[in-house]
Amino acid sequence: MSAIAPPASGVEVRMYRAGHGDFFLLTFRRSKENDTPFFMLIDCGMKSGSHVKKGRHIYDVIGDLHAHTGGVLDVVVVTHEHQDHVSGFPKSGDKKHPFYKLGFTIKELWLGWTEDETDPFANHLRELYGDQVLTLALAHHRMSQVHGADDALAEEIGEFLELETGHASGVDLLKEVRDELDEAGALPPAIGTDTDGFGAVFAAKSKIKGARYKRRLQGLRHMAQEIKFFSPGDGPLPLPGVDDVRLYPFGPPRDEALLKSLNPRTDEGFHIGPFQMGSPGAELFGALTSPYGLQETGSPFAPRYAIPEARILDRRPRKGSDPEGYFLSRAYRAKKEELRRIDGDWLGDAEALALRINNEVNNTSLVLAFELMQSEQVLLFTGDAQRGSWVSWSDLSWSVDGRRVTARDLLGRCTFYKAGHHGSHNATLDGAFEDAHPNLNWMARGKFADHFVAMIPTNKAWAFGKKRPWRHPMKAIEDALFEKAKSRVMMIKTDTSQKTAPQQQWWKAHRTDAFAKMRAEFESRTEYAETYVSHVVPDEPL
Amino acid sequence: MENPFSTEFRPPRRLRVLAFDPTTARSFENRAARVVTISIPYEMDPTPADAKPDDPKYGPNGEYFEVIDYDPSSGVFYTPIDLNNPQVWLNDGLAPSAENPQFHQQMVYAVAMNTVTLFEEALGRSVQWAPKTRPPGRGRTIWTEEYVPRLRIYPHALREANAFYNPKKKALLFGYFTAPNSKSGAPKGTTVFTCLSHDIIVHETVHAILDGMHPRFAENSNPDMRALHEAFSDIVALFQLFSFPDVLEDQIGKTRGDLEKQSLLGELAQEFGQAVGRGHALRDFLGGLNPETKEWEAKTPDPDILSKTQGPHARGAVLVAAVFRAFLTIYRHRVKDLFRIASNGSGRLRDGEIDPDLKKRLAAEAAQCARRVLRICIRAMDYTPPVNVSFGSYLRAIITADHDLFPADPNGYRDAFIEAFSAWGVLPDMPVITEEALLWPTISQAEQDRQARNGISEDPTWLAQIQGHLGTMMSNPPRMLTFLASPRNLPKGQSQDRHNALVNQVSEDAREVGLLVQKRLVTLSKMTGVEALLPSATQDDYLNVNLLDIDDSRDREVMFFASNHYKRLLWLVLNGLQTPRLGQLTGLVFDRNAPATVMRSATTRQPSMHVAGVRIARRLGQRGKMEREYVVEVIQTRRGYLDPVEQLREDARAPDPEDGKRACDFNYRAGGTFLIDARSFAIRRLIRTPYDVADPRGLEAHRAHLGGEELRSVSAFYSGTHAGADQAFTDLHRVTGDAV
Repeated sequence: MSAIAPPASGVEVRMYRAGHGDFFLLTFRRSKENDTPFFMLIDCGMKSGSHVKKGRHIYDVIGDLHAHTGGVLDVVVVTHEHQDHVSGFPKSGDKKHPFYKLGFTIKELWLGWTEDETDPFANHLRELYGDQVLTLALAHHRMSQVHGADDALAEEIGEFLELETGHASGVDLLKEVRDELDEAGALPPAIGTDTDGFGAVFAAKSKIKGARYKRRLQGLRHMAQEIKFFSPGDGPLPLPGVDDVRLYPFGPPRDEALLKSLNPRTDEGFHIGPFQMGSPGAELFGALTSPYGLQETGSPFAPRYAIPEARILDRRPRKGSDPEGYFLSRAYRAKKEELRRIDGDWLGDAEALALRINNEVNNTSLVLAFELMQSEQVLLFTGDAQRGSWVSWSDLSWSVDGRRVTARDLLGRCTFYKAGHHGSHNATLDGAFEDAHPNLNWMARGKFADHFVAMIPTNKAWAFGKKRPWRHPMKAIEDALFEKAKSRVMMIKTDTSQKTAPQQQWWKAHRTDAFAKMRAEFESRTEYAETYVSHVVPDEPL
Repeated sequence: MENPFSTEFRPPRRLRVLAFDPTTARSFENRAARVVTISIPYEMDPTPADAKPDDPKYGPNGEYFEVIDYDPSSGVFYTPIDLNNPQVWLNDGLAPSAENPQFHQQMVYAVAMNTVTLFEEALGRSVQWAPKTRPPGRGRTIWTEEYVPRLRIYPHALREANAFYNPKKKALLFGYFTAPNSKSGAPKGTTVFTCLSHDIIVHETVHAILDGMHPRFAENSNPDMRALHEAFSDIVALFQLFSFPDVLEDQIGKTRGDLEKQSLLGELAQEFGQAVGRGHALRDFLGGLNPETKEWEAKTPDPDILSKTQGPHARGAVLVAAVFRAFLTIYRHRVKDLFRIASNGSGRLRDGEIDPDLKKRLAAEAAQCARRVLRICIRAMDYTPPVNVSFGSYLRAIITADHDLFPADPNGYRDAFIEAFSAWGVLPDMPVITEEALLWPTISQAEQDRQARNGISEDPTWLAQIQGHLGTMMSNPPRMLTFLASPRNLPKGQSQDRHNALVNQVSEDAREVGLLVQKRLVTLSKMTGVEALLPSATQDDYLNVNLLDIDDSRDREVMFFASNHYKRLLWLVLNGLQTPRLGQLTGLVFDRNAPATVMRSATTRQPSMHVAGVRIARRLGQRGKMEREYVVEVIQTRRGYLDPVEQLREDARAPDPEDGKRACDFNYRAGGTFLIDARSFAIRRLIRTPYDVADPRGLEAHRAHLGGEELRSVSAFYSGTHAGADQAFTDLHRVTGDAV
C-alpha cells in the first residue's frame, strides 16, 4: 500500500469502500512546482452492518487511508453528524481507535455554522434537536416495553436513533444522558413515578455542553489543530497552500424559514417543549414527559371518568362488584382478540418525528463546491443536503475579481457530482434548466456537458437487500445520473444483476466509436480497487 | 338472537350526536344545527339471546360494533356508557358534551351504526366486515377466512390529528390532539377530538365497509384506486350529513334558497373535516369565497384537472366535486317548482325572510336528494370490476346500477351524473359518452362482440349450459357437489387428490352452514315455543335450498358462511367450465401457456382463479318490485416486477404452482364481476377489467403507476410498494402529512 502521488493537475477523488456511507479523500496538487499532496478527508462513516465485504471493518479501511496519506490530513470536513458520515471518527480518548493508534495529524477541521458553539442561533437549534431526539428515544423505550424491541416500528425507530446518535436503543441513550447529567450534578430529583429519572432529563435546566447532542465529534475536535465554521456565501476561499482552487460554501442554509420546523421561536404559535404544536412529536412529547414523571400522563378528561389501566389489564374485575371493569377487561383482553389490541399504536407518530429529524439534520449538511481555476470545472459535494438546502442555493452569489458569480454559474460548470444522501429521494433535485430552484439540469451545461461524472456513495446491494429496504439510490435518480453522465456513474457496490433496464438499453444504443473512446478515457482516469474507487479530475482547459 | 316473532313493538334506539363539533368554534349562527338525533332500528341492534332486557349494555357493544374506550397514551380506560341505563335511553342518550368521554362513545357508536344502516338500505343485504384471512398451513390446504362479527372502535386510541381504519385489527382508531394556532378553528391549546367529528367517523367507517365489500380496493394498483377509497368515504360522509334536514334548514333560511347562491352546501362542504385540516383538498375543488364579492362560488369545473392531479387525496377530491355537482343539478331541478309556487310563478322570491314552510320543504328536498345520490353511489359499488377500478369505470357502475333498477329516468338523475362527470373530465376511455354506451355490456352484447371479434358465428346457446350449472349450484348445492365428486367430471390434467380434497372441504363447509342454520332454528323454536318451526330434517336438508336467499334471517354469520361455501363451490364449477370461448367472453385466462408469472392453481395447474365474492343484492325497483341479483367476483393474479427485464425472465420460466411464493415487486390483478339474475340464473352483465391478467398492457400500466409513486414517495427511507395493504389507510393519512 503506497502513498498517493498527487495528480498532474486537478484533484483525485477517492471513494473508500467500507460500507454504506460517505468516506471520501480528495488529493490536490499544491502547485505546478510543488507535488507534495494536499489531503482533504470528507466524512468517514458507514451504516452499521452495511459492510462491503464480510470481515472488513471500517478500521481496516482507515488503515488504508493512513497508508495512502501518511496520516497527515490537511483538512477534515464533516458534513453533518449522521452515523453513515461519522461512524469512523474516534470517540474522545478511544486509544484503540486507528486515528490514535496509527497516529493521524489533523491540521484543520471544517464544519457547518450549525456546529459553532459561539453562534446563539445554532446553539438554540441544537438544544431543540437534542430534546427532540430524546423524545424519540422515550418513544422507542415505550414501544419496546409494549411490543418488545423486535416490533417492526421499534426496529425502524431504532434504526433512525442509531443514525442520529449511534445508539440503536432508546433506553441506552437515555441512561447515558441521565448518568452524564447526574455526574455533573445537573440532574433534578426524580418526581412521582419517574423512577428511571428519564423525565428529569428534560427538566434539567443547566444542560451540559455536548452531553445531549453532537457527542461523536468530540474526539475529532480534540485532535484538530484548528476548527473552522462555514456559512453559505462565505468566500470564495482559497485552499490553504493549494494554487488554482477556489472554494464556495453552499450550505447549510442560514435562512431561518428553511429550518423553521426546528425553530418554533419564530412562530407565534403554541409550542410544547421543543415542538411546535401540531408538528409530529408534539403530542408524543406531551404524553411521554410530564412534570410528574413518565407514568402519569395528561388525559384530557376529568379523573372521575378514568379507570387506571392496571385495574383492567392486570387484575380480574368481578362482574358483580365492578361490572364496567368486567366488561372492559373481558372485551379488551380476550385471548382470541389479542391482535386487535392498540397498546402501542399511538406511538406510530414517532415515525413521522424520526423522518423529520432526519431530514432536518440532513439539511444542516455543509455543502462545498470546488472550482478548478484553469479548467473552470466545479466539483460538488452536498453531504446529504435535501430539498430545503438545494432551494436556498439559488440566492447565493460571490464576487470574484470584480465579477459576480452565482450558484447557477458554478453548477453550470459542475462536472463532478457526489450524489446527496446515497442517491435517495429529495437529495438530488430533478427539474429543468429554466426552473427557479437548482436541480440536476442546472449542472454541466455547454462545453462541460460531455465531462459530467457522478459518484453515489451507496452499497446498493445492501440497501436494497435490507429487511426494510432503502431505495439508495432511487431508480429514477440513478437513471437520470446515468443518462447525464453517459454511464460514468461510480458506486461503492453494485450488483450487476441490478443493472436497470434503461441502462441496458442505453449500453446497447451506444455501441459507437465515439462512445468507446469516451469510456476508455474515463477508465484511464478511474481506478477500481478493493478498498476504494478513485477518479481524477484534471485541471486542464476543456 | 332476537325473537322475530315477538309481538312487542320495540322502538328504535334514539341517540343524540353532534353534526358539527362545537369545540372547533363554529359560528354562533350555526348553533341550531349542531345536534341531530339518530334513530337506530331495533333489529339492527338486538338484545343478545342470553341477556335480560334490563341488563346493562356497556361499550356500547352491539351487533356490528364494539366500542372500547382505552387511552393507552394516558394509561387509562374510560368508564363505558350503558345504553340501557334509563337515564340514557329515556333521554335520547347523553346530552352532547365534549368533556364526557361517555358521550364520545355514544356518538361514535350512533354515527357508525347510522352509516351501516344506510349501506344496508342501499344494498339490500347485511354489511360484512372484511374477514381475517389465514394462509394454508396447520392441516389446511387452502386459504381460509374467519368471520368477524364486530368492528372495534377505539375513540381515544391516538394522540395526533389523525384517525384511521386498521384492516388488520378490524378496528377504527381515533386520535385527539392539542389545537395548534391555525386552521382548526378551535381555540389554541384546547383539545380537539377526531371522534367528535361526524365527518371523520363516517369517513373511517366507510373505509371499513368498503374494505369488507372489496378487500382488494386497498391495493395501490392505479392512480384512482386509493383515491376512490378516499373519495367514496368523503362522499358518504358529506351526503350523510346533508341527509339530516335540520342541518340544512338554517342555512337555507339564510341564503333564502337562492338557486344562484347555493352557498350553504358549499360552505358546509368547506367546513367538512376542517378540524383536522382535511378540508383543503375539497375546498380547492368544490369552490370558495370570491374575495371580491365575499360570496361563495362553486369552482368552475376543469375537464383536464385529473391529468394534472396526483395523490389519492387530491384526485379523490375531483371525484367528490363531480358527485357534488350532480347533486346540485338534481337539487336545483327538484326545487324549481317550489320556487314557482312560492313566488306566484315568477320564480323570484320577495325580499325579506324566506317563508318558514318553504324553508322546511327546501330542506326536505335537499335531504331527499342527498339520500338519493348516496344510494346511487353506494349501489354502484356492486357494479365495479373486482380490482383495478378507475374513476371512469365507477361512473359506468353508477349509470348501470341505477339503470338496471330504474330503467326509466324521468327526473334525469343519470343525465345529471353524466353531465357532472363530463364537466370534471372524470370519464372512462371510450369513444362515445352516452348513457347507453356507459352501461356495462349485457351477456348477449358481450357474446355478439366476442363472435364478431373472432369472425365466427356460433349458436349462443352454449351460455345456457353455464346458466344451468349456476342454477343447480345456487338452488341445490348438494346436487352440484355430487356431480363434482364424480371422477369423470375431472378435466384433463388436474390433480385428482387435490380435487377430492377440495370437494371434501366444500362438503365440510356445507355441513357447517347446515349446523349453524339448524342451531338458529332450534333457538328460535325455544323462544317462541312453536315446535313446528323446528323441522325434523337433518342439517343436510337445509342445504337443499338457496342459502343466499334465506330471507327471514338477517343473520350475518349464516350469510358469511353461506357466501364462503358458494365461493368454493363456484370455484369448482368454474374449473369444469374452462373453455376457450368462456375465456374470450369473460376475460379470464385459462390458457396453459400463459406467462409463468400468472399464478397457477395447485389443483388444476392452470392459471388460478380466486372467487372473491358471491353475494346477493336486493333492491326495491320501479313499481316497488323486488329486484334480486347475485354479484360474483373472480380475480386472477400475476407476479409483477418493476424491472421489465426481470419480468421477461420470470415470464419465461416453466409454470409452477409453487411460484406463487416467489418474491415479486407487486401483484398485478385482473378479473371480472358477473351479475346473475336471481330467478333465472342467467348472467345479466359482464364487468371486466380493461385488460386480462396475461395482457402486458395492464401489467405495464400498473408498473408505470408504481414508478410514479416512487417519485412521489415522501421520504428517503421509503421501502417500496410492498409495504402491504395492512397499513394502507394509516400510511395514507400519516406519512403523506395530510391529516386524516
